[in-house]
Formats: sequence, C-alpha cells, structure tokens
Amino acid sequence: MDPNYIRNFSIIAHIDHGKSTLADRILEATHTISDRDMVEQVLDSMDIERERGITIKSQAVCIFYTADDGHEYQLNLIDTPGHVDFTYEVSRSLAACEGAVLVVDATQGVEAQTVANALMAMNANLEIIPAINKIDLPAAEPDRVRGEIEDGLAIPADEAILTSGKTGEGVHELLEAIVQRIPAPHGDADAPLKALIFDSYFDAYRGVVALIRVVDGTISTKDKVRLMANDQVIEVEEVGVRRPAETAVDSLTIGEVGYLVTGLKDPHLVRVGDTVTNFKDGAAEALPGYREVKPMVFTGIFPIDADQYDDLSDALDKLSLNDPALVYDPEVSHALGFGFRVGFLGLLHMEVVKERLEREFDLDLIATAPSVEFHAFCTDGTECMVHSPQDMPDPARLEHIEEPYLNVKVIVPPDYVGAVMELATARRGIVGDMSYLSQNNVELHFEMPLSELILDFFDTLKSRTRGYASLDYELSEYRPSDLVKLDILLAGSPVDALSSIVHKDDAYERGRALTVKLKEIIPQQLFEVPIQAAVGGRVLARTNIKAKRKDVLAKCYGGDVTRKRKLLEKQKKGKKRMKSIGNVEVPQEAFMAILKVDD
Amino acid sequence: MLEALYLHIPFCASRCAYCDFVTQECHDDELMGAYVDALCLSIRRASKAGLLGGIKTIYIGGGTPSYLGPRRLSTLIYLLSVSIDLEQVDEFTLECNPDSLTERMVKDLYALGVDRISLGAQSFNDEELAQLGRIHDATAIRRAAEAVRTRDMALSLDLICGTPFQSEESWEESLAAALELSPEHISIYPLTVEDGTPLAARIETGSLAAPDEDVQADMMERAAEVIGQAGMTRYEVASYALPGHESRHNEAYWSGMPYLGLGCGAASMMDPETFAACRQARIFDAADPIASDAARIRFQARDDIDSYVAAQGCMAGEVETLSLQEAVCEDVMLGFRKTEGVAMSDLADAIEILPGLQEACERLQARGLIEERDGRLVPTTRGWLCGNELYGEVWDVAVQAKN
Repeated sequence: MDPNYIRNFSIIAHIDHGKSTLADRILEATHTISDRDMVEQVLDSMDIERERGITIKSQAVCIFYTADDGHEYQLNLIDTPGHVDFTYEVSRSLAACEGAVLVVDATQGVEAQTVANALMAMNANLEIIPAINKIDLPAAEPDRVRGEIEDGLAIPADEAILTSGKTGEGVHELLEAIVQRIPAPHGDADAPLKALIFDSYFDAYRGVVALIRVVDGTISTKDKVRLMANDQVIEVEEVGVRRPAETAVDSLTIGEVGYLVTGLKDPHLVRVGDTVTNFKDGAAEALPGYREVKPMVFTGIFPIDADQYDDLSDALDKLSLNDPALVYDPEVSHALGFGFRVGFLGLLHMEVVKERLEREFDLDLIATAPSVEFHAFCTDGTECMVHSPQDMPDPARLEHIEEPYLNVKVIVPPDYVGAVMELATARRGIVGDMSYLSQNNVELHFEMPLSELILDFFDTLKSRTRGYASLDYELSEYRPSDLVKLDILLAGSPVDALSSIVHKDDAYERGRALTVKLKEIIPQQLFEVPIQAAVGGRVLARTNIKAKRKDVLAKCYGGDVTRKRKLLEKQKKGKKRMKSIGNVEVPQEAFMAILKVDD
Repeated sequence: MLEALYLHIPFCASRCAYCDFVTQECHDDELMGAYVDALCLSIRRASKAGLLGGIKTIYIGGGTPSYLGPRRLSTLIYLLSVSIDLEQVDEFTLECNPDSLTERMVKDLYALGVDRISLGAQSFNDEELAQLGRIHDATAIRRAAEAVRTRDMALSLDLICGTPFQSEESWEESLAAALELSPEHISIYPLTVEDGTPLAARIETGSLAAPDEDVQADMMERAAEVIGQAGMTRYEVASYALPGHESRHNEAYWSGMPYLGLGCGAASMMDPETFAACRQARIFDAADPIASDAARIRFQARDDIDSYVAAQGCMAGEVETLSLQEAVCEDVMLGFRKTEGVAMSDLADAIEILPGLQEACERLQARGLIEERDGRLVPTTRGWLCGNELYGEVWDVAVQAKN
C-alpha cells in the first residue's frame, strides 16, 4: 500500500479513562468488527485483562477507513500495555507509530498517568491528538479539561476532540484527525529490510509469531531473513495483517504493520525491540532502542499439594511460550518442598502470572515474598547471584553484597510532594531533583533500591497520593549495601520460605512488624506457636500465637448432623489450602506477609 | 426398626436474639391449630404404615412446644397415645419455656405420658435473659421447675455460657442456681453466633463484642467441675446427667440409631427400606432415586408451615444418601462426642470398612484429642473443647475415601 495512505497510531490513557471502550467504537465505526462479533473491549482478550482493566499484551489491528477526502486509508491501531512493569514494551509499541490518541476523561481531567504517557509519546516524536472522552456524562467538564491539557501538556486546547466511547459521539472527527494530523510513515522501499518487532506470541500450530512494523524495504513470504540481536536466520512462513482475524498477504512494505510467522518453536529467540532484516545484504545497523528484557523480581512458586509439581512445571512451560520475559528454574525449599524460582518484570507481572497459573491451570500455589537479584562477593574472591534468601552465602564467607538501584521518576500534584519524599526516604531513597512540569504536576527524581520498590511501593505510593502519582523507573546500577538475611522461626524452627534479605538498619523494625503480621495471619493452633525474627541466630523480635482452647459446635442433634458435617468439611478444606510446616498450619498469605506490613 | 420419634413445633411467643432454629413468632391460633392437625396426620400415616411399633423415645421440640397451650398439646399427645403404645416408651420429653409451663399443664402432660421436661432456662440472671431476648426471668424458671416437681417427672435444664453479657461470677451464680433445682439433666451450650440473627447484627455493627472462645472454654470447664461435684456425669460434650438419666433420645442421634422426625424442619435418619416405606406412606415427599449402595438416608424437611399444612402433613424435603463408609465414619465421629467414646472392637469393625480410620485415630491420639481407656478410645478434655478438630479429622477420612 502507498505509505501516504497509511497511519500508524496507538491510544494512550490514564487507567479507567475509557481507552478500550473508545477503541471498540473505532472498530465498530469502521466496520472492522461486525456487531455480531463485538465483545466489550475487543483488544483486551485475556479475562484478567478485562477484569482488571489493564492491558498486558500488545495488540495490533488493521483498520480500513474511507476518509472525507474520498481516499481509503489503512489505519494501524497498536494497543500498548498499560503498566510500569511493561514500560519497555510500551516504548517499543510507540516506536512503531507516528501518532497517538491521548484519551482524557472529561470528568477526571489530566492525571499523573496522562502526563507520563504524553511525555513518553512526545519522546517518541509522536503527533498527539487529545481526545476528551466520556462527554456524555453529566459531570463532564470539557472546557476545564481543555485548559488542563493546554497548561499541563502544552498542547493547544483547540486540538482536542470531544468523544464518547459510550455513544460513539466524536469518533468520526477523531478518525478524520488521525488521517489529517498524523504523518504518513516515511521509509525507503529500496533499502534493505528493517522491521521492528514490537510483540510476539506463540501459536500452537505455527510457532512463534512476531508483530512487526516495517520501516524500510519489503518483507515477503518465503524470504530468508535475520533477527539482528541474536543472528537467528529464518525463512518467512507467512506475513499478514490482523483485521483483527489474521489475513495473509504477499508482502509487507514501508509503514505497514502486520504479523510474521517465524516457524520458530522457542519464544526466547524472538525478542521485542529487535530488528528483522534480509539475510543477504541486510541492513548494517539495527533500529535503535533494543534492550534485552531481564527479570527484575524473583519469587518462589510452590504447589500446596506436592502432587501438582509436574502440572506446575507444564503450566510454566506453556505460559512462558507467550511470555518470553518469564524465566524459571527449579527450587527446593525445606518448608515448601519442590517448586520453582520464577523471574518477572515486576510485581504486576508476578501477580498476573500467579493468577493465570491458578485459574487457567487449576493449581493451588504458594508464592513466597518477592526478592531481587543481589550480587554477593565472597572472601575467596568468588561472586554469586542471589535470587532467593536461601542462596545467601554464610556471613562468615561474605565480603560484601551489592543490590540493584533504580532511577525512579514520580509525577505528582504539588500537594503530595511531601508525602512522596517521606515515602521515598523511608524506603532508603536518595531524593534528587524536582521540577514543575506545569502548575499541577511536579516531576520528582530519586534513587532507590529495587528491593524497596517491590515491597508494595507502587500501591503505597498510590494510596498516599490518592491515586494521583505515576511511577516510572529504570535500573541504574549495583551498589554495595549492608544487607542481612532476616530469618523467621515458627515454633522454634527456621522456615526458609519466610526469610528475606533486608537492610541491616531495617532488620529490627521489619522483624518486629513481620512477627506481628504473621500472628494475625496464622490461625490459632492446638498448641502455642512462638514466632521469632532473627538475624544470624540473634532473635530480634518475638510474638506468640496462643493455643486455641475451644473450637466446637456443641449442639448436635438430629437435623444438625448434616449441617455440622458440612461446616467441618468447609473448615477442613480451608486447612488444606494451608501448608503444614512442622505441625503449624500456615496459610498462603503468610508467605507474602512482608508485603503487607505497614510502613 | 425406628426407635426414636421427634416432633417439631415451630412456634414461639417471641424469637430470641441468638436463635436461628426453624421457628417463628406466632399469635395466630388458627395457624397453630392447623399445624397440629397436619402433624397429627403425619403421625397417623406413620402409625398406619406400621412404622411406630418400636418407638422407645419421643421428643417434642421446637420452637416452644409448651407455647401450643394445654388444649392443642393434649390433642397432639392424645393422638400419639392412640398411635403408639406409650407404655412401651422409655422416655417422653417435652421441651418447654419457663414462661409457658404451668402446674396445670404439667398435670395434663404427666397424665398423658410425658415423663421428662426439658426447660430452656439459659441463665438465672435477669439482665442476661433480657439481653438474650428471653421473655422470662429467673423467678419464672424456679416456678416452672417447681411445677415439674409436682409430678414424678425428670427435669433437664439448658444453660448458655460465653455470652457477651456474662461475667465469670454470673456464670457461677447461674450454675449454682440451676443445681439448687436438683435437675436430673443439664445441657451446657457455649453461645454460637449464627448468621442473620439480631445478635450477629449487633456484633457486626460493633455495638457488641463477639464471644471470646477462651472465655467460653473456661466457662465450659468450670461447668464440668461444678456440675461434676453435684454428682452428675458428663456423658456428652454438652450433656450432664445423674446416673440413669442420660437422654436416651439424644443418644440415638449420637449412636447411629434410626430416627423419624415429623413437622416443619424436622430431620430423619434411617435405612433405605424404612425410607422407602415412609415415602410409600406419603410421610416424605421426595422423588430422588436412591443409589444402590446407600446404607443410610437422611431426610431434611424443608417446607414452610403453610405448605406443610396444605400437604396435610406430607413433608417435602431434601434427601441425603450416605454410603456404608460414610455411615460408619459418621458413627465414629459422633461416638467421639460421648464420654464413652468408641469401643476398640467397634472401631476395628469400622476400620474393616474404612481403613483410613486407623491412621486418623493414631494421629488424633498423637495430637492429644483422644486417648485409650479401658478398651475404648475416648475424647480428652481438649478433644471436647476443640471438637471440630477431632470430628473434622474423622469425617475427612470419609471425604478422602469418596474422592
């Protein structure tokens, strides 16, 4: 297709501002999807995505639209993941576009995530079309929101389009603006092929399928091409576009967005951000911005019932096909038995994977508190990676230990700057510079250990700023830290799955808070259960769960027997979801207790 | 052969704050009359089908049976006397509330064959009684007990412990006051807060503290001590009796004996043949097919008063089928409610049928919930206080065997 009639764009928004609904209306208005096939929020295809209102995987849909100027345009809508865990994926999706529709809720106005998204789009040099959405609501204040867009984002107010994802109002104007304002893609059709991989997924029959955006050259079925990051050579089995059903085409050329069937069976070979080029006389340089995706957060995942180990192993195999960022290795815990140490991009990624394992594969799992990758340097000159508190070398052998630090960026209204600084400092953050993006938004920079960020930092930040703060971070470097392993003892025996690596100065406070929290979570047993927190054998804090003295349904006559038996069955079932450690029945939440202790 | 008969009277003068039984506040004479008529029809059908020939114990419970008043009670018991040879009945209990039991009524009941009165005393502290929503005071309990003593009848008292309105002292006083009436039998129930009751609502809104299990445990233990000193023996987790006055009717529930319950909300348990006969006699209205491996059937009446009356005493309800393994397991579980526990020889028979019981009993012994004594496995004090641990572990054997 003539690139002059192609427009590549994405839709970005603060959560709940109506991005997916607006996308649905665009698909409807352009007859991309018949009414019959219309499910609410077509683009969020996973149940978890719909339920949580977040997008986890990128999507691309090819839309044909006959504009008012009489020409038919090919509009490629690239939907991006919407969470800080997936910042890199978002940046690659945006790199495949020339423009972005920035959705702003007409009742809520510009929020922190709106600003963060707009900045990201601006950095990618995208043309931004603001859409003030939900104007059908009685509380809509489009004029106020226009002002906020002009003040906060420096986008002229008259560029905003008023839309309603509910009624479809303004969708036509929006489509016209996309055609008129977003630049057509440039590229050199005669140059060697350069196509950006912005996502991939696994198809049981065809292997790994990559979603690509062609920048230069042409890619056709049967071409021999090379993935530049790892020199993987493949023969193209098929290229096509998603409308949204996959439709094969002979070739894709400059500006076009589509899919590429690689025939590869290992998803790790196809990396987001990589460049596809010709095998012979390929491009000399890859497209900029490729980064190897590395897991940042590690957690132990164990089946409650040891018999489910093989099922868990199969399930992880299957999930990782569609999620190359997911890595895992077998792990053995004294307390929890055989399981896996699993690496994730971030906490949300972890939660989503755990939820999918439990739901889609019907597994009962225990996840241990998340950890990061520490680097331990031993006195004998060796260095080892510590992904789990159990890997921590004996303190006597330990020379020093380093932990990953982040450059963190928070955008927040000025009223909350104090609260954010306080939180950052409490989490060992080193506050850096601060700048006003506008009257309503301040950008704060600080450095902070990743291990602190994964302890519920995002949720705490959200609650302390009433949801206004947006968070972005990147790994900066490893730095030496005074870290110790905090052990938890239940009924006198250390429970490996409850231990954590903490800063020495925080050990006492964390230990105390953790023992208190565990006392709340672990139910009374028939005997007293002391809970102790200790570092290197020295007890820092202790609580006791008193023995349960009474638990009986005293009345039991004719009609009660069945009813009481059912209650007993329910009670027993609850117990089976607990892990028996020593003789102590420990509920699943206990292993995540460290995330729940209040600051 | 059915040996235990239960009749349910679902009426009360007023509903108590903690109650979730099948009963209702009722001031409609006509409805109560119609209900008694329907109950009489149920009894007649059972009798005509020859199901009541072996009845040894009768228990009329509720609700408040005494609230029916002397005339309706007399009708009901007279009808019983023409359907069952009351001379062959060993125990005939009527549940009463202190406010509605009069000396006149006692004389009539005794004349008709009732030989045991179970009196819902609950407490002897007037403030506590008011808080529990009881409409009587301690004086009324004493008056009712005195009335019972005008005839040669056994007296049983119910007491509730661990309510949020109670103190250690007031519990002590209630126990002493109860013993002063020289009852043959006492039942001690720790308060259970049932969903949907006014009490649960008060606790949910935070205006009332939830019962403390530790306090309840103390009070149960104190009761065992004080009542024991008075010469009564604890023969079940909640039941105390002078020698020979253990409730035979209740023992049927705890020993796997078949029983027939008539009236709204009543439960029955029997073998499949007897169940078929009850269906045939239009006592039970249930279409469920009975599995060929069924060893025990439990039937739970579910209709409301109006539909029971309209159906002329044919009860609609739910059928539960237990396999031989489940029946055996249930008996062991219920056996551990009783002081005498389970005889090793009976347990050996049960293990033949359900092998998992062997290991479960070993675990329970190791956990100190049961112990061996004189050729029997009996519950320990902890096994009584933490009975759910004990019963749950036993019943789980049947659940596991089924899966």
